[in-house]
Amino acid sequence: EEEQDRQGFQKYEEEFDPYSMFSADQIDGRDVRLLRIKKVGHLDIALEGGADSPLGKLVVSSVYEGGAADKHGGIVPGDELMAVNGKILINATLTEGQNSLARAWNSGGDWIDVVITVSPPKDYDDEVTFF
Amino acid sequence: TGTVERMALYTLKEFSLEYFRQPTKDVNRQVMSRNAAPEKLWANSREPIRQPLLKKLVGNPELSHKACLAFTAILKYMGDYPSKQMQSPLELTDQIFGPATSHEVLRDEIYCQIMKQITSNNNRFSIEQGWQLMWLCCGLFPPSQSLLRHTQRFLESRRREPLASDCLQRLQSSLRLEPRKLPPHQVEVDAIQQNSTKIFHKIHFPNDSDEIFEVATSTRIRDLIQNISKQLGLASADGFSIFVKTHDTILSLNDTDYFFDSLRHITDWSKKSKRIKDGGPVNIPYLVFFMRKLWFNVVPGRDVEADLIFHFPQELPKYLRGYHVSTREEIVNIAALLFRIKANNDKTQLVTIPKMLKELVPADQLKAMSENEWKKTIVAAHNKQPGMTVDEAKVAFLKTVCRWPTFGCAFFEVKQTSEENFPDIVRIAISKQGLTIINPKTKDVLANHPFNRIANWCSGSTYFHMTVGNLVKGGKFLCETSLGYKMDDLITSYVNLYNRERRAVRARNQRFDY
Repeated sequence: EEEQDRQGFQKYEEEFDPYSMFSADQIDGRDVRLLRIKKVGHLDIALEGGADSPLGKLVVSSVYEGGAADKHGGIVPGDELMAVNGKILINATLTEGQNSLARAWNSGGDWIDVVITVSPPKDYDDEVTFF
Repeated sequence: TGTVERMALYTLKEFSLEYFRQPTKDVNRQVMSRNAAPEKLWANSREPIRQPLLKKLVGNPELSHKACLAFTAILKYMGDYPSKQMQSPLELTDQIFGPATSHEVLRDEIYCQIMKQITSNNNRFSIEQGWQLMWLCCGLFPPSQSLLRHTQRFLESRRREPLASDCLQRLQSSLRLEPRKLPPHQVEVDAIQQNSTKIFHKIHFPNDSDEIFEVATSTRIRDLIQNISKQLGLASADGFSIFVKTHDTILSLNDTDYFFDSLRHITDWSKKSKRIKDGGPVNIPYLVFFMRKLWFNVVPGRDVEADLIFHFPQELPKYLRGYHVSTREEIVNIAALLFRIKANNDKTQLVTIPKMLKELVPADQLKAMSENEWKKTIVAAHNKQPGMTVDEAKVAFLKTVCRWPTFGCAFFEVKQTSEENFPDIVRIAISKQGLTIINPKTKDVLANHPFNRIANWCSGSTYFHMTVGNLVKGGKFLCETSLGYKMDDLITSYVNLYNRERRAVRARNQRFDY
């Protein structure tokens, strides 16, 4: 791991094959990544949506400054949460997703494995509104 | 003898007999003097308390603890509790008033603690600080009926104190008002710390000007909107709103909320989202804006003041972003008007038109002609126009724009995932006509949903969702956006406006029936 740090931070696991975990329909041509986040302090992300919500999926709504996710750098708001430590969350409600994350974070091990679908960079301007 | 009899200073002694707990036996004091009088719980003390003053709190460990912490904060605020770690006045007022704003049973306790510390206090500095706390307290919430009479007599017997009369007045009005939801805002604490019972706040306008307005502890957003409209001489306050801008959001404030509650709510929330820990830097920079939010009954030229301060500066950026559908002739004419405004009617600047094209012509039209052709046509249009002042040119701009169906819309670029026939990126326009979905490339209208056809809507940090038609056979529309909260709030505000109007019409009709 020290070596990895020295070589520059690797934001996701390159050898991960999303098709080993999800169907082609579920992946739908999107960029699905496995992140390995070191358990230091709090993970500090917020989720919204869930399978039973209008959004229909679990989405990262905030990544708080200084938390483990923020320090890792591989997650941004808008990313879909697909799995945590091998548990697939595609049909999970918001509460189930939050509980899975908390359990994974608080159980043994130095790392947490998170699979996300990357929210593509916005090529449109949604930051300003004029009333 | 002709001297006015001085009213004896009223204390909570009588009240304490019925409502305070028993004084604790102080072992140390008894050791020092066998005949020590029992502790006077209603009078000043420099010792932190281990139990609340009020009997009714004693059985509640959680609230008792909060009451004791509040007392220590009062000691600190009044300078009676030396501590190495300097705490900001706002942190202390939060500890004193925060729990009491959310737990009604704590309110009397806070009143009693403050009055206790003012009673038999012979340190002038400490007394003055105590009166500041009393002043803040009287503006937040009233005491209960049983304590009210005692509080009034306490204040009336101390009319020589500079803040006593103002405290009485605030107490009187807080009896008629809803209590505040949150403890004092930084601006309120700053004001009273400078011995000012008047509070002022800077308000910004879309034309880059700003003015200072008086806001009281009990000023509601709607009162402030009325005051500003009156002071600016606007024909009507309808459709205007107060907005707060922080580093990452701009939120419109709810009409019925207290101004300082709203401000705190937003800055507290902003602090939480950045996870600034309690005790960390407290001040979140923010600006307060006054703008038009709902565009209805806006007829350019009817209220020129509103046109110049709001309508022109708010509509101009939307026009330049290319949000409207307009003819070449309109674009050239508007460019000539915008030139007058930019150049302050200085014709010698006509040669610089190519350099300022971006401020004259919508972004999507810039490439339609060469810079030189634009210059030629704009100069020709300028020379054909009748002479007019800069202000007249602004109104003339609005008179053209208001003919288009997209006048007064708020626009949102979003990524939609519901409609296969629509492009992924669509532009959503929200106005008094409802919600319109537009193809941003062609500006074609893809769908138009009047408000009475939108069955429900909701938003999160990353999305906006609505159901159109009825719930059984309704179409769902989901889009990814970080501005869902704004779309949500705008639709809610327009729908509320329509409901209010409907109710007003119904009330009028009912009157005619009799």
